Amino acid sequence: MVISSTEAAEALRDIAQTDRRTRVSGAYHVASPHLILWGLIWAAGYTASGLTPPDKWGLVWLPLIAVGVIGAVALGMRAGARSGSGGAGFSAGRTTILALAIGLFIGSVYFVFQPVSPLPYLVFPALITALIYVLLGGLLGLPRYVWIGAIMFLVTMVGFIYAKPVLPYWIAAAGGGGLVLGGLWMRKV
Amino acid sequence: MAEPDELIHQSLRLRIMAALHAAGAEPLEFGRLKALVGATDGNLGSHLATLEGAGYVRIDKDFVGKRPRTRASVTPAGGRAFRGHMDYLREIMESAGGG
Repeated sequence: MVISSTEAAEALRDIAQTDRRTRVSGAYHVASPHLILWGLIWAAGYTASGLTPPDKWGLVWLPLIAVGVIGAVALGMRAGARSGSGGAGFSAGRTTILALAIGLFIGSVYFVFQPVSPLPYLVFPALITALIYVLLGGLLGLPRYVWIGAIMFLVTMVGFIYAKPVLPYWIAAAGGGGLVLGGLWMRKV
Repeated sequence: MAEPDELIHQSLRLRIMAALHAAGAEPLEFGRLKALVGATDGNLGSHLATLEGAGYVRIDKDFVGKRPRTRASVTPAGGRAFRGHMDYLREIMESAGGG
């Protein structure tokens, strides 16, 4: 069997493209249930925020975030067991640290800026989440993350500008629905 | 000097092996593999059977609920053959001054 350098170059290019496509697809498949989980928590939390006074929002969100972290750890363990990577402990630790870091950052910003209206309390976590998705997508080369983050950012700002009276429900539907749809989209190869 | 593997070098089989190798220990479902390598049902099935016959690929069939599921994964022998073929391709590029 004789293979020319042109054929070898073409074959290596083909391998590199397929390898990259497979790894990106694998990353999307792992992320998909996490997006659906957080989308449902998001929708429940913002809907409940619309139905309760702002001073009770902490009571609404803390149990939901705990459910999200436990769910994310369970999903990480399931993915680790399926791939045989044994990375369950790492996933659990990483998920908890990430959730704590994001919560601490958002809480510190509220503490420093002391918003006088409840609206920033609703909008800021959505904007931070959108930014995280855009950054992750850009850094890891996962374009669907960038799209999801960009769309979340846009719908949140549109709601803040045009839908203030129904803002919690707007963010529940647009943000939560967007995450669930994004999760389903990531299942498509 | 690495040796070429004629069975793997065929274009679609090369992509199948690349996808399964990249997926590592996790088997790929038939539909997902088909989309990743740009194959049709018929030619993917036929090339997978060839690779399975050579001991390079393992095919598992089961049911998820009532839905049949076919999954493929690379065997240790398939992984070695694929890496050996890649080494051969790289050596050609290096000897041609393109590596």
